[in-house]
Amino acid sequence: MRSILVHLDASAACAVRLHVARQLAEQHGAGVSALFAVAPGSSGLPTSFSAAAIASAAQTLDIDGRHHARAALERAVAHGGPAVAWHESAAEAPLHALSRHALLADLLVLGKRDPGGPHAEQLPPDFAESVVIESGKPALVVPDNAPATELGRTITIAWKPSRESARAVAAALPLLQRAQAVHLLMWQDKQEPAPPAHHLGRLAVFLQLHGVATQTHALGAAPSRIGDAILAESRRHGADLLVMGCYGRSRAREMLLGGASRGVLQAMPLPVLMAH
Amino acid sequence: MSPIKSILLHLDASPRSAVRLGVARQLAQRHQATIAGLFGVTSNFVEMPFAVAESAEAGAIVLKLDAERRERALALFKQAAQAEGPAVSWSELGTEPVIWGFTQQALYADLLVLGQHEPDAVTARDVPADFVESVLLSSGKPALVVPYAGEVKTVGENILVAWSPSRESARALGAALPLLQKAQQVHVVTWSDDTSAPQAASERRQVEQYLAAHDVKATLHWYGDGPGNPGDRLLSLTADLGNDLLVMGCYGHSRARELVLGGATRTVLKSMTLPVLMAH
Repeated sequence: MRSILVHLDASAACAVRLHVARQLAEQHGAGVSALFAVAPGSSGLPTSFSAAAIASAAQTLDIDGRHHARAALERAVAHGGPAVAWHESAAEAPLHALSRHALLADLLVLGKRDPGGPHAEQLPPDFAESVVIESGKPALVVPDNAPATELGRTITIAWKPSRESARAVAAALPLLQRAQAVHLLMWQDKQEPAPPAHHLGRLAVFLQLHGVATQTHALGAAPSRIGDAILAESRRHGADLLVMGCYGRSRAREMLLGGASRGVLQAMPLPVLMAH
Repeated sequence: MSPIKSILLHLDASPRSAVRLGVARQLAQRHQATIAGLFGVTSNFVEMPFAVAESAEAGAIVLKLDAERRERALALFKQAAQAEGPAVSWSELGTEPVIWGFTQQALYADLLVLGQHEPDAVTARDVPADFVESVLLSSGKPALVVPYAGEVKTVGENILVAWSPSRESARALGAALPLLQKAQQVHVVTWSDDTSAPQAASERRQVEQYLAAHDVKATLHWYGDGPGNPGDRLLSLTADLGNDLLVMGCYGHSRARELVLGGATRTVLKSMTLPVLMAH
């Protein structure tokens, strides 16, 4: 992992994301780029203004939060540590801009949008999932109130024998290799002929080859609110990072963990590393 | 991006299995990886359902054909595995559909070694004609596809990466990093859908910077619009540069029309004469 891209917007949580991105950069010898990308928010201005007037007013009043994000970046790097390169998207939709920049990054650091928070209209509600699907890159989705401690000391992996889960695990390898404890979780699924213990055994062998020791937890029948169950298990193990596949809407109906990524992202008390 | 520690090798009854085994060993040696060989073919029951429905004797014959094919594959494997090199294990799929079964095991590997489909071979129906693409799509894992003809001496000493700004290209590039880091020569040909010169130049610079961050020094090439199919042009470029590995994205059907390199997957999988590393 040498290249990390962090998404900035008008939210106060930019500081948390920058902190996480720089911490990972320091641990893994990576470079950090930040991309400021939001949908143009003109809601604060009368519609009778000309486009140029709106643009100029937006600049002065910092309607879109660009100055705020820039200031967060300056504060983050003020006391040394990894530098962060600033990029901003011009007229592009945030999803498109981020996905394009993501192509040459190894990991994205995204926020979990607060639907009730200020500037909520700047980004679509499923922004993080959309970026993960569109760019094909793994993302660490960080909750706004994440504590400023080190993440990845205790990691849970919610496993499902699918390409999404496999990609999330492959992307998480550098973090798993540094962890003190790694817990593998899998629930019984009617569609899977083999029991969870069989799959987890194979995953444990694969991770062992990469120098990662694990504890496996073969669990019973999957509850209907699987997202809640994953979070409860993660809490029980004292996890500070969860690794799981990110499933699109079409896959969500087919698969056990489909609804899980949605459920986890809605509640999300801890950072989640996802891949599609 | 993940290091190559676990290689899954596809085995069938074709003599090319031995060539693939040699390629897997070369990679295993260079990357300190383990190799699991997996014999997986479509049962003759699937190929001849009418015969089986007609009589019990036909059913017995089909079973015998399956058993004989397995014996041939196992004998080929044992002979190839005798040569010096890293250990290779043998395991086999049961009666499950071959793409599904292979995919299930692929989820626990870093790299797959598969064979190019040879339409005229006697073993052509051992696996479905779209086995490579289907496994790439359903497992999400990168695969090194070994051509059905010719000797494969080295793999990955002189690599060409075909880059277009798409997630498929990005995945192939990420998967190839461990190989690129050990190569003697790395070439990148950028094939921008947007051919405006400044944009293409900036994209080339970004690819160069990304590779440099991963300690890979590459020579950049650019292909603008030109006559002929991009896949054919790509293959002729590998011949000009003397490459022993091509790295490219594998695009699904829906993407084939959207992107410049979209249609190239098909052409390359049909006409390739060198190993190709693909990811979806």
